[in-house]
Amino acid sequence: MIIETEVLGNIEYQSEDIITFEDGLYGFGGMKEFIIIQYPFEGLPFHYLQSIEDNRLSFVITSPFLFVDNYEFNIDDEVLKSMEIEKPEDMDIYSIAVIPDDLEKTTVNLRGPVIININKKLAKQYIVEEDYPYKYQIFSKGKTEVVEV
Amino acid sequence: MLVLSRKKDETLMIGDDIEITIIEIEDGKVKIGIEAPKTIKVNRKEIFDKIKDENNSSLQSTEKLKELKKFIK
Repeated sequence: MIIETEVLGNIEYQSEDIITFEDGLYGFGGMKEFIIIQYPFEGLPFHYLQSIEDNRLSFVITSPFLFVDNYEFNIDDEVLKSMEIEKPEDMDIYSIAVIPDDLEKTTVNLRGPVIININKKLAKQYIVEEDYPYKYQIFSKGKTEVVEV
Repeated sequence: MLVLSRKKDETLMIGDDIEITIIEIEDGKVKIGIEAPKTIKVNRKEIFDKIKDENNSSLQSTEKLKELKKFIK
């Protein structure tokens, strides 16, 4: 299958790549099916969370653990159950990233991470109770190196 | 906006499945109990709005991603 994206052109994907958000993302509840497009430039740990239902809907995501120490939060048992998550290894966690004109001020939303059950391809944007910031600046002064994964 | 008055312990129905009950009224604060199917997300609006704002801003960010490369080693 092919999705025509605005930023990366035509992207081919398989049905196994489709991740289903039962509730969609906050503000975009109607769109439930996405794929993750790994960013084509090496060493840049950002990706696109691309809707396959609306090709204009493409969110920038990254792994918060690359930029934040001790990022930990509780997930409600009911949420874990509805996502069929049994152990931490079942999950991938991403943050929605915002890149403003001043690139140094790029932020990630630590309060509303995207949780993905890797095996079942189920996902949810989850609002954590812990008082993490919505806009966490990942490039603080003097910190322009990122560990390559 | 529909505006209704409720006293303590009174309930509103939204659709067939959502119940909102006034649990406590004290010090200008209302404690509200919500019964809703697990599929319905219930959030304080100010939090919902902030999450939604970041999602929206992320959509504008997709074009800038390639410019970020110079910040990353």
